[in-house]
Amino acid sequence: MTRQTRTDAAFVLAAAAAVAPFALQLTGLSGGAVGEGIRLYVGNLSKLLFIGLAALSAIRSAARFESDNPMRGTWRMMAAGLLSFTAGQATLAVYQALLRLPSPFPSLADAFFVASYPFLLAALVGAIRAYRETGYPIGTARERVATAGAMAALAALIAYPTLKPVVSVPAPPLEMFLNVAYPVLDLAVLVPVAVLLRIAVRFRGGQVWKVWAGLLTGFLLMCAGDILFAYFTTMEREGLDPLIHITYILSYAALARGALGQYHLLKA
Amino acid sequence: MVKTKDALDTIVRMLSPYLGETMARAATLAHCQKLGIVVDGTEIKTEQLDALLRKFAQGLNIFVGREKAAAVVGEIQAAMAARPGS
Repeated sequence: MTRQTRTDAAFVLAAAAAVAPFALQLTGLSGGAVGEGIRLYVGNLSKLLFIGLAALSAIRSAARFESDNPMRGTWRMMAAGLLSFTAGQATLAVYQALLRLPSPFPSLADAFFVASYPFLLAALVGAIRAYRETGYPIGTARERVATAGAMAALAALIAYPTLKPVVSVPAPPLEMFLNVAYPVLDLAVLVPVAVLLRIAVRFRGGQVWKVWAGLLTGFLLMCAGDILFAYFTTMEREGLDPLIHITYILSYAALARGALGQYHLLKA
Repeated sequence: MVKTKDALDTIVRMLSPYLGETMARAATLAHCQKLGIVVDGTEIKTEQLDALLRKFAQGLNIFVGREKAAAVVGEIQAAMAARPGS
Protein backbone atom coordinates (compact mmCIF):
# COMPACT_ATOMS: atom_id res chain seq x y z
CA MET A 1 0.00 0.00 0.00
CA THR A 2 1.50 3.36 -1.04
CA ARG A 3 1.50 6.47 1.15
CA GLN A 4 -1.04 8.02 -1.19
CA THR A 5 -3.43 5.07 -0.82
CA ARG A 6 -3.00 5.11 2.95
CA THR A 7 -3.72 8.85 3.05
CA ASP A 8 -6.81 8.40 0.85
CA ALA A 9 -8.06 5.61 3.11
CA ALA A 10 -7.46 7.71 6.25
CA PHE A 11 -9.41 10.62 4.75
CA VAL A 12 -12.32 8.41 3.67
CA LEU A 13 -12.50 6.81 7.14
CA ALA A 14 -12.24 10.12 9.00
CA ALA A 15 -14.84 11.81 6.78
CA ALA A 16 -17.21 8.83 7.06
CA ALA A 17 -16.88 8.83 10.86
CA ALA A 18 -17.51 12.59 10.99
CA VAL A 19 -20.65 12.52 8.83
CA ALA A 20 -22.10 9.33 10.37
CA PRO A 21 -23.90 11.06 13.32
CA PHE A 22 -25.55 13.49 10.88
CA ALA A 23 -26.48 10.76 8.40
CA LEU A 24 -28.09 8.79 11.24
CA GLN A 25 -30.09 11.87 12.25
CA LEU A 26 -31.34 12.24 8.68
CA THR A 27 -32.63 8.65 8.80
CA GLY A 28 -34.51 9.38 12.02
CA LEU A 29 -31.93 7.99 14.47
CA SER A 30 -31.13 11.20 16.29
CA GLY A 31 -29.97 9.53 19.53
CA GLY A 32 -31.59 12.10 21.82
CA ALA A 33 -29.44 14.39 23.98
CA VAL A 34 -26.38 12.13 23.65
CA GLY A 35 -26.67 12.21 19.87
CA GLU A 36 -27.06 15.98 19.99
CA GLY A 37 -23.85 16.28 22.03
CA ILE A 38 -21.94 13.95 19.73
CA ARG A 39 -23.02 15.91 16.66
CA LEU A 40 -22.08 19.19 18.30
CA TYR A 41 -18.50 18.13 19.09
CA VAL A 42 -17.86 15.82 16.14
CA GLY A 43 -19.27 18.36 13.69
CA ASN A 44 -17.30 21.32 15.03
CA LEU A 45 -14.08 19.40 15.60
CA SER A 46 -14.06 17.64 12.22
CA LYS A 47 -14.80 20.84 10.28
CA LEU A 48 -12.10 22.72 12.17
CA LEU A 49 -9.53 19.95 11.74
CA PHE A 50 -10.19 19.43 8.05
CA ILE A 51 -10.22 23.12 7.08
CA GLY A 52 -7.25 23.80 9.39
CA LEU A 53 -5.30 20.98 7.70
CA ALA A 54 -6.22 22.41 4.29
CA ALA A 55 -4.92 25.85 5.34
CA LEU A 56 -1.73 24.43 6.85
CA SER A 57 -1.03 22.32 3.75
CA ALA A 58 -1.60 25.37 1.53
CA ILE A 59 0.85 27.42 3.64
CA ARG A 60 3.48 24.68 3.46
CA SER A 61 2.93 24.23 -0.28
CA ALA A 62 3.36 27.98 -0.89
CA ALA A 63 6.57 27.92 1.15
CA ARG A 64 8.01 25.03 -0.89
CA PHE A 65 7.46 26.64 -4.29
CA GLU A 66 10.42 28.80 -5.39
CA SER A 67 9.99 32.58 -5.14
CA ASP A 68 9.81 32.96 -8.96
CA ASN A 69 7.34 30.09 -9.41
CA PRO A 70 3.87 31.44 -10.30
CA MET A 71 2.28 28.73 -8.16
CA ARG A 72 3.78 30.24 -5.01
CA GLY A 73 1.46 33.27 -5.27
CA THR A 74 -1.45 30.99 -6.12
CA TRP A 75 -0.92 28.84 -3.03
CA ARG A 76 -0.39 31.93 -0.87
CA MET A 77 -3.79 33.19 -1.97
CA MET A 78 -5.28 29.75 -1.38
CA ALA A 79 -3.69 29.69 2.09
CA ALA A 80 -5.08 33.16 2.94
CA GLY A 81 -8.57 32.09 1.84
CA LEU A 82 -8.46 28.81 3.73
CA LEU A 83 -7.04 30.51 6.84
CA SER A 84 -9.89 32.98 6.79
CA PHE A 85 -12.30 30.05 6.50
CA THR A 86 -10.57 28.36 9.43
CA ALA A 87 -10.98 31.53 11.52
CA GLY A 88 -14.68 31.61 10.63
CA GLN A 89 -15.11 27.96 11.53
CA ALA A 90 -13.22 28.46 14.81
CA THR A 91 -15.54 31.35 15.69
CA LEU A 92 -18.58 29.13 15.13
CA ALA A 93 -16.98 26.39 17.24
CA VAL A 94 -16.51 28.84 20.14
CA TYR A 95 -20.20 29.75 20.08
CA GLN A 96 -21.48 26.22 19.67
CA ALA A 97 -19.06 23.91 21.50
CA LEU A 98 -17.50 26.17 24.15
CA LEU A 99 -20.25 28.69 25.02
CA ARG A 100 -22.98 26.16 24.16
CA LEU A 101 -24.95 28.90 22.42
CA PRO A 102 -26.75 28.71 19.10
CA SER A 103 -24.36 30.50 16.74
CA PRO A 104 -25.79 33.89 15.84
CA PHE A 105 -26.38 34.72 12.20
CA PRO A 106 -24.84 37.05 11.14
CA SER A 107 -21.74 36.87 13.36
CA LEU A 108 -17.99 37.56 13.26
CA ALA A 109 -17.66 34.16 11.55
CA ASP A 110 -19.46 35.54 8.50
CA ALA A 111 -16.91 38.36 8.20
CA PHE A 112 -14.14 35.72 7.97
CA PHE A 113 -16.10 33.55 5.53
CA VAL A 114 -16.94 36.46 3.20
CA ALA A 115 -13.34 37.78 3.39
CA SER A 116 -12.01 34.44 2.16
CA TYR A 117 -13.69 34.58 -1.25
CA PRO A 118 -11.49 37.21 -2.97
CA PHE A 119 -8.41 35.18 -1.97
CA LEU A 120 -9.90 31.90 -3.21
CA LEU A 121 -10.99 33.49 -6.49
CA ALA A 122 -7.52 34.98 -6.98
CA ALA A 123 -5.94 31.58 -6.24
CA LEU A 124 -8.09 29.75 -8.78
CA VAL A 125 -7.55 32.36 -11.51
CA GLY A 126 -3.81 32.34 -10.69
CA ALA A 127 -3.71 28.56 -11.11
CA ILE A 128 -5.31 28.81 -14.56
CA ARG A 129 -2.71 31.42 -15.59
CA ALA A 130 0.17 29.36 -14.22
CA TYR A 131 -0.99 26.17 -15.93
CA ARG A 132 -1.16 28.04 -19.22
CA GLU A 133 2.57 28.69 -18.83
CA THR A 134 3.48 25.00 -18.56
CA GLY A 135 3.42 24.55 -22.33
CA TYR A 136 1.50 21.31 -21.81
CA PRO A 137 -1.59 20.69 -23.98
CA ILE A 138 -4.21 21.95 -21.52
CA GLY A 139 -6.61 23.19 -24.20
CA THR A 140 -6.98 26.43 -26.08
CA ALA A 141 -7.85 29.88 -24.71
CA ARG A 142 -11.09 29.69 -26.71
CA GLU A 143 -12.04 26.46 -24.89
CA ARG A 144 -11.37 28.06 -21.51
CA VAL A 145 -13.44 31.13 -22.38
CA ALA A 146 -16.27 28.89 -23.63
CA THR A 147 -16.17 26.83 -20.42
CA ALA A 148 -16.20 29.98 -18.26
CA GLY A 149 -19.10 31.40 -20.28
CA ALA A 150 -21.11 28.19 -20.06
CA MET A 151 -20.51 27.96 -16.31
CA ALA A 152 -21.48 31.61 -15.80
CA ALA A 153 -24.72 30.99 -17.70
CA LEU A 154 -25.41 27.85 -15.67
CA ALA A 155 -24.66 29.77 -12.46
CA ALA A 156 -27.20 32.42 -13.45
CA LEU A 157 -29.77 29.67 -14.09
CA ILE A 158 -29.07 28.14 -10.66
CA ALA A 159 -29.02 31.54 -8.92
CA TYR A 160 -32.44 32.68 -10.06
CA PRO A 161 -34.64 29.89 -8.60
CA THR A 162 -32.36 29.57 -5.57
CA LEU A 163 -32.29 33.24 -4.65
CA LYS A 164 -35.87 34.12 -5.57
CA PRO A 165 -37.40 32.61 -2.40
CA VAL A 166 -34.47 33.93 -0.34
CA VAL A 167 -35.06 37.56 -1.33
CA SER A 168 -38.85 37.29 -1.19
CA VAL A 169 -38.90 36.43 2.53
CA PRO A 170 -38.46 39.51 4.76
CA ALA A 171 -35.21 39.43 6.76
CA PRO A 172 -32.90 41.97 8.46
CA PRO A 173 -30.68 43.69 5.83
CA LEU A 174 -27.39 42.07 6.86
CA GLU A 175 -28.96 38.60 7.06
CA MET A 176 -30.54 39.11 3.65
CA PHE A 177 -27.23 40.35 2.25
CA LEU A 178 -25.36 37.28 3.50
CA ASN A 179 -28.05 34.85 2.35
CA VAL A 180 -27.64 36.30 -1.15
CA ALA A 181 -23.87 36.92 -0.98
CA TYR A 182 -22.86 33.34 -0.09
CA PRO A 183 -24.54 31.61 -3.04
CA VAL A 184 -23.51 34.42 -5.42
CA LEU A 185 -19.86 34.27 -4.28
CA ASP A 186 -19.93 30.47 -4.48
CA LEU A 187 -21.34 30.55 -7.98
CA ALA A 188 -18.64 33.07 -8.94
CA VAL A 189 -16.02 30.64 -7.60
CA LEU A 190 -17.57 27.89 -9.72
CA VAL A 191 -16.57 29.72 -12.94
CA PRO A 192 -12.77 29.26 -12.47
CA VAL A 193 -13.49 25.88 -10.84
CA ALA A 194 -15.16 24.70 -14.07
CA VAL A 195 -12.20 25.93 -16.17
CA LEU A 196 -9.73 24.21 -13.83
CA LEU A 197 -11.80 21.03 -13.84
CA ARG A 198 -11.59 20.96 -17.62
CA ILE A 199 -7.82 21.42 -17.42
CA ALA A 200 -7.33 18.98 -14.54
CA VAL A 201 -9.31 16.17 -16.14
CA ARG A 202 -6.55 15.92 -18.77
CA PHE A 203 -4.24 14.82 -15.94
CA ARG A 204 -6.47 11.88 -14.93
CA GLY A 205 -4.54 9.05 -13.31
CA GLY A 206 -1.71 11.30 -12.09
CA GLN A 207 -1.01 13.00 -8.79
CA VAL A 208 -1.73 16.45 -10.28
CA TRP A 209 -5.27 15.26 -10.99
CA LYS A 210 -5.68 14.11 -7.37
CA VAL A 211 -4.72 17.54 -6.05
CA TRP A 212 -7.28 19.32 -8.20
CA ALA A 213 -9.94 16.64 -7.89
CA GLY A 214 -9.81 17.20 -4.12
CA LEU A 215 -9.77 20.99 -4.27
CA LEU A 216 -12.45 21.29 -6.92
CA THR A 217 -14.74 18.75 -5.23
CA GLY A 218 -14.29 20.78 -2.05
CA PHE A 219 -15.36 24.00 -3.77
CA LEU A 220 -18.34 22.32 -5.46
CA LEU A 221 -19.54 20.91 -2.13
CA MET A 222 -18.97 24.27 -0.40
CA CYS A 223 -21.18 25.89 -3.01
CA ALA A 224 -23.85 23.21 -2.50
CA GLY A 225 -23.66 23.68 1.29
CA ASP A 226 -24.08 27.45 1.07
CA ILE A 227 -27.03 27.18 -1.31
CA LEU A 228 -28.69 24.60 0.96
CA PHE A 229 -27.99 26.81 4.00
CA ALA A 230 -29.54 29.90 2.38
CA TYR A 231 -32.52 27.90 1.16
CA PHE A 232 -33.23 25.95 4.35
CA THR A 233 -32.73 29.00 6.58
CA THR A 234 -35.18 31.04 4.55
CA MET A 235 -37.70 28.22 4.24
CA GLU A 236 -37.28 27.33 7.94
CA ARG A 237 -36.48 23.70 7.10
CA GLU A 238 -34.29 23.06 10.17
CA GLY A 239 -34.95 19.32 9.86
CA LEU A 240 -32.59 19.26 6.91
CA ASP A 241 -29.72 20.91 8.83
CA PRO A 242 -27.78 17.60 9.03
CA LEU A 243 -27.51 17.63 5.25
CA ILE A 244 -25.79 21.03 5.42
CA HIS A 245 -23.32 19.74 8.03
CA ILE A 246 -22.57 16.65 5.92
CA THR A 247 -21.93 18.84 2.87
CA TYR A 248 -19.55 21.16 4.74
CA ILE A 249 -17.64 18.32 6.42
CA LEU A 250 -17.13 16.56 3.06
CA SER A 251 -16.19 19.87 1.43
CA TYR A 252 -13.49 20.63 4.01
CA ALA A 253 -12.22 17.03 3.89
CA ALA A 254 -11.88 17.23 0.10
CA LEU A 255 -10.08 20.60 0.31
CA ALA A 256 -7.71 19.18 2.92
CA ARG A 257 -6.96 16.10 0.80
CA GLY A 258 -6.28 18.24 -2.26
CA ALA A 259 -4.02 20.71 -0.44
CA LEU A 260 -2.15 17.91 1.37
CA GLY A 261 -1.72 16.16 -1.99
CA GLN A 262 -0.01 19.28 -3.37
CA TYR A 263 2.33 19.40 -0.38
CA HIS A 264 3.25 15.71 -0.79
CA LEU A 265 3.83 16.32 -4.50
CA LEU A 266 6.32 19.07 -3.71
CA LYS A 267 8.35 17.11 -1.19
CA ALA A 268 11.49 15.83 -2.86
CA MET B 1 22.00 8.16 -29.42
CA VAL B 2 18.88 6.36 -28.18
CA LYS B 3 16.00 4.83 -30.12
CA THR B 4 13.26 7.47 -30.31
CA LYS B 5 10.44 5.12 -29.36
CA ASP B 6 12.35 3.79 -26.33
CA ALA B 7 13.22 7.30 -25.17
CA LEU B 8 9.66 8.58 -25.50
CA ASP B 9 8.21 5.48 -23.85
CA THR B 10 10.58 5.96 -20.92
CA ILE B 11 9.60 9.62 -20.56
CA VAL B 12 5.88 8.78 -20.66
CA ARG B 13 6.33 5.96 -18.14
CA MET B 14 8.30 8.13 -15.70
CA LEU B 15 5.96 11.13 -15.97
CA SER B 16 2.68 9.21 -15.83
CA PRO B 17 2.55 8.98 -12.01
CA TYR B 18 2.56 12.80 -11.90
CA LEU B 19 0.74 13.87 -15.05
CA GLY B 20 -1.36 10.80 -15.80
CA GLU B 21 -0.61 8.67 -18.86
CA THR B 22 -2.87 10.63 -21.24
CA MET B 23 -1.24 13.99 -20.45
CA ALA B 24 2.27 12.51 -20.34
CA ARG B 25 1.78 11.10 -23.83
CA ALA B 26 0.05 14.20 -25.20
CA ALA B 27 2.71 16.52 -23.72
CA THR B 28 5.50 14.35 -25.15
CA LEU B 29 4.00 14.52 -28.63
CA ALA B 30 3.35 18.28 -28.33
CA HIS B 31 6.91 19.01 -27.16
CA CYS B 32 8.40 16.77 -29.88
CA GLN B 33 6.40 18.65 -32.48
CA LYS B 34 7.61 22.03 -31.13
CA LEU B 35 11.22 20.84 -31.09
CA GLY B 36 11.05 19.25 -34.53
CA ILE B 37 11.66 15.73 -33.19
CA VAL B 38 10.25 13.04 -35.48
CA VAL B 39 8.39 10.73 -33.11
CA ASP B 40 8.47 7.75 -35.45
CA GLY B 41 12.11 8.37 -36.35
CA THR B 42 14.74 5.75 -35.65
CA GLU B 43 17.02 7.55 -33.24
CA ILE B 44 16.88 10.69 -31.13
CA LYS B 45 20.02 12.80 -30.77
CA THR B 46 21.40 13.56 -27.32
CA GLU B 47 20.87 17.30 -27.86
CA GLN B 48 17.24 16.70 -28.86
CA LEU B 49 16.68 14.55 -25.81
CA ASP B 50 18.21 17.17 -23.53
CA ALA B 51 16.04 19.88 -25.10
CA LEU B 52 12.95 17.68 -24.66
CA LEU B 53 13.72 17.03 -20.99
CA ARG B 54 14.39 20.75 -20.41
CA LYS B 55 10.97 21.53 -21.88
CA PHE B 56 9.35 18.98 -19.60
CA ALA B 57 11.17 20.29 -16.56
CA GLN B 58 9.99 23.87 -17.26
CA GLY B 59 6.35 22.74 -17.22
CA LEU B 60 6.80 20.27 -14.38
CA ASN B 61 8.14 23.11 -12.17
CA ILE B 62 4.63 24.53 -12.04
CA PHE B 63 3.18 21.30 -10.68
CA VAL B 64 5.89 19.90 -8.45
CA GLY B 65 8.41 22.71 -7.88
CA ARG B 66 11.90 23.04 -9.35
CA GLU B 67 13.61 20.66 -6.93
CA LYS B 68 11.23 17.79 -7.58
CA ALA B 69 11.14 18.51 -11.33
CA ALA B 70 14.94 18.26 -11.44
CA ALA B 71 14.77 14.99 -9.51
CA VAL B 72 12.21 13.55 -11.93
CA VAL B 73 14.32 14.55 -14.94
CA GLY B 74 17.34 12.96 -13.22
CA GLU B 75 15.34 9.75 -12.77
CA ILE B 76 14.39 9.77 -16.46
CA GLN B 77 18.04 10.22 -17.48
CA ALA B 78 19.08 7.41 -15.12
CA ALA B 79 16.37 5.15 -16.56
CA MET B 80 17.60 5.91 -20.09
CA ALA B 81 21.18 5.18 -19.11
CA ALA B 82 20.14 1.88 -17.52
CA ARG B 83 18.45 0.65 -20.71
CA PRO B 84 20.28 -2.24 -22.39
CA GLY B 85 22.33 -1.07 -25.32
CA SER B 86 22.49 2.59 -24.22
